[in-house]
Amino acid sequence: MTHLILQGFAASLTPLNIGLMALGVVIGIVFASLPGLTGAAAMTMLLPLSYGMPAVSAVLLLIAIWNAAVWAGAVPAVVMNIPGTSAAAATLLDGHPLAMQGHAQRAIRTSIIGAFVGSIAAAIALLFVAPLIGNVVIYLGPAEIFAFASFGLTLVVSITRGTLSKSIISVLIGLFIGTVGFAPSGFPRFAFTPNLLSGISLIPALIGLFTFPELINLIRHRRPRIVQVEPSQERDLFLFRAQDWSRHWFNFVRSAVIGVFMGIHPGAGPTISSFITYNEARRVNKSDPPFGEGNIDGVIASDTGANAAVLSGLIPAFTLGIPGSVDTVIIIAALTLHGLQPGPTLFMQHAPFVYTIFAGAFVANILMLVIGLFAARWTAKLALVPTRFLLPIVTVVALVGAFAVNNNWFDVLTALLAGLLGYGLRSMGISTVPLLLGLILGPILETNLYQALQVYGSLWSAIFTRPIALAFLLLSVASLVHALITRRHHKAGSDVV
Amino acid sequence: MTRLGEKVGYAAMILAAAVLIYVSRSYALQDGAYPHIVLTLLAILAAVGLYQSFRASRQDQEREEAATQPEPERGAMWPVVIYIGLTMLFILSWNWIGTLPAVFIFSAILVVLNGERRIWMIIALPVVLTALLYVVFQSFLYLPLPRGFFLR
Repeated sequence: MTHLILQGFAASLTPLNIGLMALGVVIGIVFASLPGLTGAAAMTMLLPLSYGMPAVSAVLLLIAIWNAAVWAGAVPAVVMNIPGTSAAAATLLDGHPLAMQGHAQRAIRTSIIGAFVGSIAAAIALLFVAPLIGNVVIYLGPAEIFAFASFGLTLVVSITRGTLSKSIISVLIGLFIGTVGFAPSGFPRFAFTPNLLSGISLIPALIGLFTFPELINLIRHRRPRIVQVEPSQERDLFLFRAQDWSRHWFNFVRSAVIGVFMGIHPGAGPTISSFITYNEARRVNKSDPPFGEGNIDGVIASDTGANAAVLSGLIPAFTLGIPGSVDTVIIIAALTLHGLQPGPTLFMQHAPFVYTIFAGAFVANILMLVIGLFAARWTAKLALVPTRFLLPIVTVVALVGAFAVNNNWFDVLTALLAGLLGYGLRSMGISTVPLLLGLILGPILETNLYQALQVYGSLWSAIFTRPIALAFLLLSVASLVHALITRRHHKAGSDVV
Repeated sequence: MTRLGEKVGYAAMILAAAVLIYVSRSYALQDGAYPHIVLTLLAILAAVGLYQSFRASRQDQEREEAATQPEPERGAMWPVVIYIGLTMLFILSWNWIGTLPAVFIFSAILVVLNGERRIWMIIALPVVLTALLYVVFQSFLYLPLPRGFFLR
């Protein structure tokens, strides 16, 4: 394994990869700072362009965008009280009060260092935990994969904000869209035009679902009045001194460990992770000022936790082919675009590729730290870019990108229709995240169910003769029941992921 | 979204699911059973959503009668309709005038409609965007973008 890791570092440190990762960091920071746009939108827009690159470079570019975007949302949160990403909402709670007290520079530097620590912890987990899981999952059969995919879906449904029935509706729409095209038996279904024979193209659907609703929101809702806090001119050396680390190191470590676990957990992701780590830090806090009034530990916890959940989300995606978030769906789409099949066989057949990606994640983190420390001051200004310039640029790049995937005009139409569907669902309070996971997990579910039925004769014998499959299906039922009970007790929030 | 929009959304889901269930009946059991189950569950949950939406409308009405404060202001819908209509025209025009000229015209119209009045900016942004797309897609990726009916 050591030689694979060293080989991975050598392969990831080419000028092309370093250049693309640096570009990815910049793009991630820009998109997270632009109002109404997200890192996922940047990733979907650049996905078709990545086709012209080597697979390793394409995936490293996307990982660099994702990682940087999750952190960069903290900058407008601190300076302007507007979270650039949903994960940055927890940073805002203490980051903005700190900025109001004249410590914007301290808050931003803490957030980038926290994000760096979290990301490095996740990269270590990726390097050492993923191969272990990869070695185990090769022994899983179709019944286990079916059960694990079901578990992933139910977890996402149970975690998504909004009512349970709306999350299930979203996942069912995704599962249905996944049935368009050839069935596992080879029979075409719902292929009303020849373009649909190979199914709905994932990347144009992704572009539509995640870019257009954001653009329509930009048009429809006026931006809040932005009050920008100017950083103080006073020299702040926080976290450049050993004494600061001796006071805060445990918060960094605790938040990183929780974040890594949250990332591996399908459906949780950076947003939930940042709030959990923030709450945990608040629970044990004994120092002044209280949380919510500018306590630096709040910024450390939320940003470390958020970024620790980014790269660790790749563990189930790479080992099982099961994504836990929209961003991991995009990474999986990039892999399949380059002819690589994520899942149990990826480690066996493409070990050097996998280790290059894992090693590249460390490099991407270092680039994020360096670029982030230098660029933070200017990124906050990006929130002031007017909608009239963003709208044509993003619309055109998204649609031409959708065309570029298969050189097919039908894909452009797919992107637009997916965008309208996404906006319609979001307007009804239905999150599109479960839909997307249903779309990607649907064919995995159905194919493995079909194979399990072929091998074992019936679903019941497939489940009851395979204890791991039974355990995961019971966990799926338990997660749904738990979600149902908790939502009855606490009225579900109305905001949509 | 208004309650009416929500109801229309749920009704559309039920209708679509019913049509697709009908289509899936013509497939063999091994091919049709899975989508059939998915669509049936979708129709049931959409029907529950529709019922809840009707119930919520009644509660909204009661709340409105009791409320003294005005409703919060919502963004107008017509700019969205114009944007979607223009985007559709933009996509359809690819096969007629070609992608790059369509990009130039579409982006110039969007910039103007969103309030830009400086002539140099109305021209500069579409020129830069079109040039960038040409360089990235045609020169870098060798992707033949549609050239349109006239240049074929």
